[in-house]
Amino acid sequence: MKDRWLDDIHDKMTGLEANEPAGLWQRIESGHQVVVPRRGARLLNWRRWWSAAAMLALTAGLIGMLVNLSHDKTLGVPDADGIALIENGMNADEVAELTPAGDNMKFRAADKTGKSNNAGTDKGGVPTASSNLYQQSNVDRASSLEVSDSVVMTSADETGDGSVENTTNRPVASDDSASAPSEVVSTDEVYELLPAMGDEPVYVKPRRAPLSIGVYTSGSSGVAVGHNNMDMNYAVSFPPSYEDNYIPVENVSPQIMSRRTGGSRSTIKHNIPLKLGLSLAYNVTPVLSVETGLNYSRLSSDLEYYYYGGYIYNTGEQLLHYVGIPLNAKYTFFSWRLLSFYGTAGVLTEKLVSGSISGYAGNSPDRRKTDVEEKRWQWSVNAGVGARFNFTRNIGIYVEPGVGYYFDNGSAVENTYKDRALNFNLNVGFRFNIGR
Amino acid sequence: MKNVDNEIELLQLVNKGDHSAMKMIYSRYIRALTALCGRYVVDDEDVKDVLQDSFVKIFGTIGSFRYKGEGSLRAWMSRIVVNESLDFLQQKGRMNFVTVPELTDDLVGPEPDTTDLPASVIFGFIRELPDGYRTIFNLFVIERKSHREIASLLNIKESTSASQLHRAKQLLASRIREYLNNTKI
Repeated sequence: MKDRWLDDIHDKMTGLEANEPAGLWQRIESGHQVVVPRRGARLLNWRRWWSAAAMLALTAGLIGMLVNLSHDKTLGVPDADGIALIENGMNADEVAELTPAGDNMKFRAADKTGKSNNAGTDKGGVPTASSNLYQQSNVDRASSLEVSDSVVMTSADETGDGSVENTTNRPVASDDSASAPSEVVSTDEVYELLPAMGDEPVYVKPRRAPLSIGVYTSGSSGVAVGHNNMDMNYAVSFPPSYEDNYIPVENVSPQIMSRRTGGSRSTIKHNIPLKLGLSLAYNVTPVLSVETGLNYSRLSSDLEYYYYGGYIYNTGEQLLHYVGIPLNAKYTFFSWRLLSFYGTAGVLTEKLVSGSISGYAGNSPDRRKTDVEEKRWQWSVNAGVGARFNFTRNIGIYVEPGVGYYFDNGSAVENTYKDRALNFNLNVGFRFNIGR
Repeated sequence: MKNVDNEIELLQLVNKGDHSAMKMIYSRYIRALTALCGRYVVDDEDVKDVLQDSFVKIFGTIGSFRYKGEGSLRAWMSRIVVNESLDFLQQKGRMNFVTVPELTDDLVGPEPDTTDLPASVIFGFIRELPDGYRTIFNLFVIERKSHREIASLLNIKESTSASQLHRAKQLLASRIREYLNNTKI
């Protein structure tokens, strides 16, 4: 039989044993070239807190900008979360004077002096104006007399000094002796005006949209809270009694874990993940919504002397593409006009749909590519707070800083989630209400 | 079955960071792995370095190892040692393969009779081979890899792998014959 001698060599070499190299176990024990935290040890990398602080500062700045924008005196469109119910606070001495002029509603506040009040009521006691119909901003804005081109109409039968004629283009002067209004303000489509019931206008909170769709992007920065998986630095954990023998690796940073092999350094450096997503939220109650959707994450890492798939990549890049499904609950705890603040918490499961390592391996001048595969799902939980500003009734922009914790799924694929279980992230996106 | 249960239990303990379990696994397989590594790396100090790196990687990635029965752990550890050895040789620049014209795989002269040849002697002869020849020989004959797999692993051509193997076989056969002739005398 041909090459029988080779088969014989194979059998003999397979079963061959040699003496253990002297001092080898001691070298392994002493962690000659790497230092490793104990499995399950919790390490907080305080050097990464600066990135979290920077993100919080950015968030605060964005929120501040949003708040500032919403303080615009010009009344815009109603907040999709609803506006304060306008109470019809007319009493017997005050009445709203309304003139429908297209969508412009003009209000004239009663002069608060007794004389004008008296003058401002007709014989039937119908008040001439109601200051209760003014929003606070209206009061601030309408500090001076305004002339309007619209018709100002009082109640039908007015007599006395406080009567105001049905007229146009007539300036309404402020006069103690008359029931001239001290404030004229245009509301300009601010509120939903239901058909008047009787003589009194009724304003109601706009109906909440049952569904909303969102698109968002996200950036994150991780914080090392532990090294449960030892793949990152191929290290060994030992009981505390061996800690004295640890020799720390020079210039180890949490982001770059390295090992030395024969003088070369194998490193993998994870870049900030990029995330995009589509979300669909169902509003269970006016303040509580449940949200799901589709999430895409792109994780890239830079490699040097990295061994994978039988090759040593002198330089290279690892690119991982994850697709995930989030499930979150959002609770609005405060809303004011166009701005609302909410808390959110939920879970995300992701799957590696495509991954590869590419680069220059060995002595070959050609670029090589190796596929990275992982069938296990990556689970994470997240929580955060958010601020949303509505441009229109149905469109809003939001910013949502939060934290996410990625569970170790036992995968051998090295990514930023393995290195950084706890991640700070900042979601920014648009939300569209539908079904209103 | 006892050995399997014992290995599973050892792996579970190692995953929990049990130091004595690590030592037991090390002690159980170090001799076989030393012989394996020694076929690729000839310098004793280098063997120690490669084995150290191998065990660091073994204990570091053992959490992702899936036990598939008796022998699976040893096979997995052996693969790591082989890969670490190849790493070492490549980084030291000792894997310079020279492409030669296509040769047949047939051995020149009769096949040597290795039946009575001690394993340690064969081991020594293999270590005497030049780095490139030795590597290809180990991968093809001992690890049972195809030329295609070797070419992919070492980033060389299949023809290079075949030619290197041919040279290795010629040299080894010649050395064995020489030894047998000398011992007969």
